[in-house]
Amino acid sequence: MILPPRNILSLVIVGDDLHAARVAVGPFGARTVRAGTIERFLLPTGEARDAGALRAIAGRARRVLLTVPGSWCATRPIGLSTRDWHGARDELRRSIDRFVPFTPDDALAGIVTMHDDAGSPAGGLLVAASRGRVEPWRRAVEAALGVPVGAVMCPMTASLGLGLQRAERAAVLEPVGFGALHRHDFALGLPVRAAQPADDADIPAADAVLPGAEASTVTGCELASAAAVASLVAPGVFAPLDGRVTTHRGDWIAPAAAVAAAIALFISAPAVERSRVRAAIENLALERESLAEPFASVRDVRKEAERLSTLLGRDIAAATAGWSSVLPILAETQAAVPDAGFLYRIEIDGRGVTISGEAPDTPTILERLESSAHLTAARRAGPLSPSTEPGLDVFEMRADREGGR
Amino acid sequence: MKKEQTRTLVLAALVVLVGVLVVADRLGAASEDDAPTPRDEHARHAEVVARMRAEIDAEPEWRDALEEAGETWAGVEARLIHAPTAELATARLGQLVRTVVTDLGVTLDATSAPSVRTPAEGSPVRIIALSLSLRASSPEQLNSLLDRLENLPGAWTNIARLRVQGPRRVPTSGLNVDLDLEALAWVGDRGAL
Repeated sequence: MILPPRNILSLVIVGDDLHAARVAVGPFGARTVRAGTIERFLLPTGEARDAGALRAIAGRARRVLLTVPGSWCATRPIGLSTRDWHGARDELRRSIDRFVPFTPDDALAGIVTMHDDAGSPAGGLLVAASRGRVEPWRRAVEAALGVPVGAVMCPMTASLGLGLQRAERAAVLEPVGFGALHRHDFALGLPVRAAQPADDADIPAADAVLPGAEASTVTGCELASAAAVASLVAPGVFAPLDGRVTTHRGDWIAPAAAVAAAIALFISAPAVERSRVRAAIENLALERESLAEPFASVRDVRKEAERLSTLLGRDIAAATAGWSSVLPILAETQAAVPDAGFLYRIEIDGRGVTISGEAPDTPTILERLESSAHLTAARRAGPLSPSTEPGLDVFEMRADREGGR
Repeated sequence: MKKEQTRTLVLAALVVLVGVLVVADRLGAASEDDAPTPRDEHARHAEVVARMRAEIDAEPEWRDALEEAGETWAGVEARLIHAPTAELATARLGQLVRTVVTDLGVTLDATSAPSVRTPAEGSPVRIIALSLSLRASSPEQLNSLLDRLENLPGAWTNIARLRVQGPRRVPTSGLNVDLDLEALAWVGDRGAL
């Protein structure tokens, strides 16, 4: 698993052509994003032909792998494995001319760990190539991309990414120049025998024939894609000729870091949230403090307005409900009595008025009281009796105040 | 054990560890449901601040209401009889009445014991009342008396009951008047206004 997704530009030299594939490797697998072939890539001047096309394929890839032809490589069985390689590499390179036909200054060397039928490491295969043949291509690629080549691989190690892990046994034929073939045998994707001489008769039984032969079943771009994932599907099986490839440690780092980050986030989440809420509460407290003065001012205004409204609406209004002047009632009562009559008594209270006296035309008094704007329900309150005065009657009447209590 | 198997086991163990932590956290959170959380506290603070802001935003309305109530109250307050006690307030009302009676030449026969009512519980406003017995020489004098009593300067008054006897057939016999005069008073500290 690799987090985050990584773009790898894998290049394979086949003859004069350069096959390129940009492979995106992510947590859910790898896929070839773009691929293409640039024919006769290396110009006689040492520059790249059609560098723009290479850049277009490369995209944002910052990891570049270069697989050189098998005909450039020499191999030799050796009693070391990849695990021993890092400690012995420098010493081995100094004396490399004892194993392969390259001088120490010119040699690029790597190793492939071989396995027995049970899948356990059983020695290794020293692989070397001439730096002098590789460097022109490397420089042209680096000049075209502006990115250094991270690793140089041989076709056999690239073939580890062909998906042979599902096959119990698989045979891969590799052209090594002058029409010759080498056979590499794999068991569940692990190399068990390598660089065995082969010929065209072996082709029908082979699971894959690498590019460079007439009967190739794998294209250069397919081999480039395979090279990009070889170190991931066969971690620790090989060390490249030059540079470094992603090792199995990389498989650990991303998921372990992700799990650690998840745990850290999980543990810190409540604290972070508490901290954020606390900060928000502090902001609210500051805002509350800044609002305190204007709030107190408005609160005082509101309280005073409410107090006065209560005084007016409850105390004063309740106290003066039903208060009205008696003068209009007194005046209308007096005016209701004809000139020939007179009053003994007038009583006015909150409910109405009661009058008694003597008058000649008492129904008129009732009518006048009834027609008053301040009185209603005028009626007799006592018996009507003749007065000692001729033409007058003694009366007692009552009328209610309009809207009286 | 192969490296791949070891790696798988270790990663699986880490995932299980995370799961255990999640479950423990959930259980812990459930047991603390009753306690106020920081979010609850935040919500409470936010509510207080929102109320304060709403109050501050309503300041113009409250100032308008205060101004209107203040103007109304100023007119009312000028007509309240202010006194530290109800007895002093009724005494002051009696003085005002006597001034009117004297001015008009009306005979004040008697003044009954004053009464005091409280229109609203806890209010400093009181309704003080005097019952008066007077003799007026004519209906015109009576009208003047009533008009002056209903418009006493510095008092808000009301004649709650009026009883007039006379003048019968002979106007010179005069009128006997009994009336209950009420007035509004502010009893207590004026600072409470």
